[in-house]
Amino acid sequence: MFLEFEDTGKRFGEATENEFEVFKGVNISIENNQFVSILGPSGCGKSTLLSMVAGLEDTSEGTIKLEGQEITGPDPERGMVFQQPSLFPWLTVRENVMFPLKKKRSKKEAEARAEHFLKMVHLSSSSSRYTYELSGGMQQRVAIARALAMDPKVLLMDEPFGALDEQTRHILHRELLSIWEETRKTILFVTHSIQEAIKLSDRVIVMGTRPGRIIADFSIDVPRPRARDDENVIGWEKHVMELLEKEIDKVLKEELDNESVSYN
Amino acid sequence: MNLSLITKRIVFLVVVAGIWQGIYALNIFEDIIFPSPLTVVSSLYEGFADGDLVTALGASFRHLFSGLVLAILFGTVLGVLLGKSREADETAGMYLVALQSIPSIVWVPLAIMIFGFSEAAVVFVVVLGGTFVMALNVRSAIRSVPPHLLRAARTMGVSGVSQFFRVEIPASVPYFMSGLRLAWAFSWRALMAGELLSNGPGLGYSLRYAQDYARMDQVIGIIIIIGVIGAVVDQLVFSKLEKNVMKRWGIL
Repeated sequence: MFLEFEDTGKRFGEATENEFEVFKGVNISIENNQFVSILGPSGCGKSTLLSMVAGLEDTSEGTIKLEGQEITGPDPERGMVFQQPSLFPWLTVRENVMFPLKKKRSKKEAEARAEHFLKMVHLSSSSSRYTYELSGGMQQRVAIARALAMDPKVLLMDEPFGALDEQTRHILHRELLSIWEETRKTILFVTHSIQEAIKLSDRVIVMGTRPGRIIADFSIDVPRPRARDDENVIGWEKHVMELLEKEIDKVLKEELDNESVSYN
Repeated sequence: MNLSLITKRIVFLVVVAGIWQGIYALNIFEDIIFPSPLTVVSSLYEGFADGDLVTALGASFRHLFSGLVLAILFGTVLGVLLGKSREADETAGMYLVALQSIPSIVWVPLAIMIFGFSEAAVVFVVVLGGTFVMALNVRSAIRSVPPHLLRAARTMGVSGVSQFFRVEIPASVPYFMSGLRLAWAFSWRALMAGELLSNGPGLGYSLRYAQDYARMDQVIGIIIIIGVIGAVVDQLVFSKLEKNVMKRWGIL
């Protein structure tokens, strides 16, 4: 298997009294070249799980393996796009994309690579601009180009379009799919939007909360591009919505209880 | 800056000078403590023409430059140390705040006892005036590097020393610039305190010299020079620099 979670678990805190278990016993096998979404309500640990693949968080239990190699820390073989574009404001768009390539490739090669991926995200005309001159959607496209420029084996995306407006999000969905079709990178995409997950992915892994765990795992075999009003798409959305409703209620109830507001 | 703004400011200045001239013309105060605006201007002109003020200005800028460069150097090293090491900050951080709160004129007796009435004493006071504020700002600069930038860098295989140089240092530039502006402002004040009590040369020394000879026109003239230099350097150099950086870094 390409990417393999074996009994993966995560706890925060060291002492037993304030220990908090995010999830445990996660077993997932992901094939190469697939577009996989991890979908779940806030607090289910989906972002934590992704950070563990990135190597930014340790695994408390079990392992995560990429091509048989256990993940122990960050590595350019796993590129990540965050919800915030996290670009470096002191660099131009081109220099941002070249950032991970410095010392690994010659300057000329890095420049050519940056131009190639900026073209892929339709930003070649902005390559000399600074990030403050770009809109949120453009910044996120630069972040995608930057991650792709490292030629990672897997592209990790943590709610990358969560902060964007509806219109921009749709454009970026289309762009991401065409990039994926061109590069065939394995994509692990974290989102809380059912629509987004079903629109984009080959496979949707649904997580529940308290405790975090996998509650469902679907292959979405609707041909792309998937229209919003496609019957199959709507069917899937309804199905997943029903599954998640219970989980979202659980979160809401707990939050309201914490506020000591009577719910009944 | 638009024309009407400049006009307004000039008109304001003319009005102030007019009121000043008016009070002078009323002859309420003796000339020796209340010179006319024209006397002040002509004493300034004389000072520059015979080179006295030019020498004083040159000396002041020499003290300021060497003091400020050292203050920036020491302050940056100290600030990076405190910003990077929790241990160092917990141990020494609060003393830095205490030192920062000491007015620079307080250091003058200490400086004179160590260095005597020399230019080194003045530079010493300038260094102390700028170092602590610089260190405090560099400390915040290092601390306020957005964590998401560090995480992003790590996923691109950039960590440790190379992360410090390629991410933390450039990301701290905006606060570093604020530190620079404050260090300049504090050093400028410290410089005047130091020079007032020194044996010259320097603008502060010329000021006290003028006082000793009861030359109110020169006293006012030099105060005007000190104010103008302070404002011009702040507005034309440091504020501009800071604003440009803030804009580029997406903070403004």
